[in-house]
Amino acid sequence: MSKACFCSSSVGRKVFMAITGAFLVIFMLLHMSLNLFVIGGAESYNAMCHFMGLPFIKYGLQPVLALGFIVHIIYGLYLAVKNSAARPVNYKNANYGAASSWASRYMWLTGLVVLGGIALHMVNFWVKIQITGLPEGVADDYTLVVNLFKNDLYTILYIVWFVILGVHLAHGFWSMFQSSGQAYVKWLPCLQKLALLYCAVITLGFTFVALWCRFIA
Amino acid sequence: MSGNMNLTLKIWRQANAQAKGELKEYKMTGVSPDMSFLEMLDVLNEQLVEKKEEPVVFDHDCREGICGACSLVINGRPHGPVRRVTTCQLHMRKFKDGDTIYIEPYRAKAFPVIKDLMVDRKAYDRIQAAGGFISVNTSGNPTDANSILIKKENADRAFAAASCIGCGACAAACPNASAMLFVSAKVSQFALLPQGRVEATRRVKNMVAQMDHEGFGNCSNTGACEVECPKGVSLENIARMNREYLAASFVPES
Repeated sequence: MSKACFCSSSVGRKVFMAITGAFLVIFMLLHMSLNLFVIGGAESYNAMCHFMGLPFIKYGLQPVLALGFIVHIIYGLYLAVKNSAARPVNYKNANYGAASSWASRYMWLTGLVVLGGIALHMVNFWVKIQITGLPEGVADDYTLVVNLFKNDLYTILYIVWFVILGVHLAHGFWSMFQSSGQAYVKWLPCLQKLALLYCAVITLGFTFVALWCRFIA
Repeated sequence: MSGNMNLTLKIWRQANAQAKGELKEYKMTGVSPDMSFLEMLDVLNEQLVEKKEEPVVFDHDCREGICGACSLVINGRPHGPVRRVTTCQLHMRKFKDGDTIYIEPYRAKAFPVIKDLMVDRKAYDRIQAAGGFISVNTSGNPTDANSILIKKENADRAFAAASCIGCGACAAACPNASAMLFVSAKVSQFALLPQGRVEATRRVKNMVAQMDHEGFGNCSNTGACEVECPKGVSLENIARMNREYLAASFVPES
């Protein structure tokens, strides 16, 4: 029995979620910081886009990032399905809300919404900036981004997405310490505060850039 | 008597493991607020017997909150609405006249219903048997455990973990039906003490393997177990077990 594989054990799977989650947490902070370049105007934003398109990032780091996302998503969905199978008959009068937060119970749902948002934003930006090239009549990367947010529907859609992303991260951030065994009692209150700070920075940072494009740029 | 309550109970009735169960409604009149929850069910069962009906089957033993035999999910919460008490220590004064109370068995694939409100919790025994012990030769001259100095904090944490009565509320409360709080408490109570360190590596691996084998879900850190645990066993034990398991998986046993 002690030969059981780490990767297929319940603890091992959670460690994979934690490690890929930590990787994505760092990436989100990086992405948010890069978006802030838009405040510097066209020149600074275009220079940032050019840098991010350099071969070592495009062909070296992006596949690693994609792998991080794929492992996190596949393991997450697999765990959600396994967990649902662990209770084939649910309570008729369930009251899960009495003991746990909504965010912690619906990570699979907020995760799927985040995934949908990622797909939308890749079609909106990433594909045009890094794959197909800018469409006719769009002068540069900066114009592409700013123009999209001139559309109120997109601005609202993106802000809703950022809030749901924040909810996902609020549980995910401290969870990664717990799942990897690093949530020592002494650190826990601090970690949970840090999680809130992190989510606020991410959600407000992304939202700020969207609103800046909408109203100021 | 004044202060007595009239209640509507909706109780899960299921003839056996294979039968399809259903919630059945029972009206109770004149329930004393001083009764314990199980005494209230005793009264119901006496009434059912008098009417030549099948009494409701539920687990109980010491009725002092220490044995871990009683269970029940009351209004969606294992051991009822009051924190840090077992069902046997829950009193009817926590309910109001006219209340409707839902009483269901623990729900988990690894806790199959035997009859009505009684579920098979032998999965916990098997997890315990997979490693929740220390091997001590008692035939010679066993040394007094108290002769080994132990850091006060560790002794306290080990004791807090050992207060787990294995009732199964953690797995019943968990939205994923995960048994992590139970298993981590049993891993921790040994991992924190020098006598337990000797077999720590194989213990955590074997107990986690058995837990997975039983069909419990995976922990997603909702924290519901800690809230519903009648003994207040802390989530820190789960972090410790994860840490122990990581170390056990990558550091060879000496």
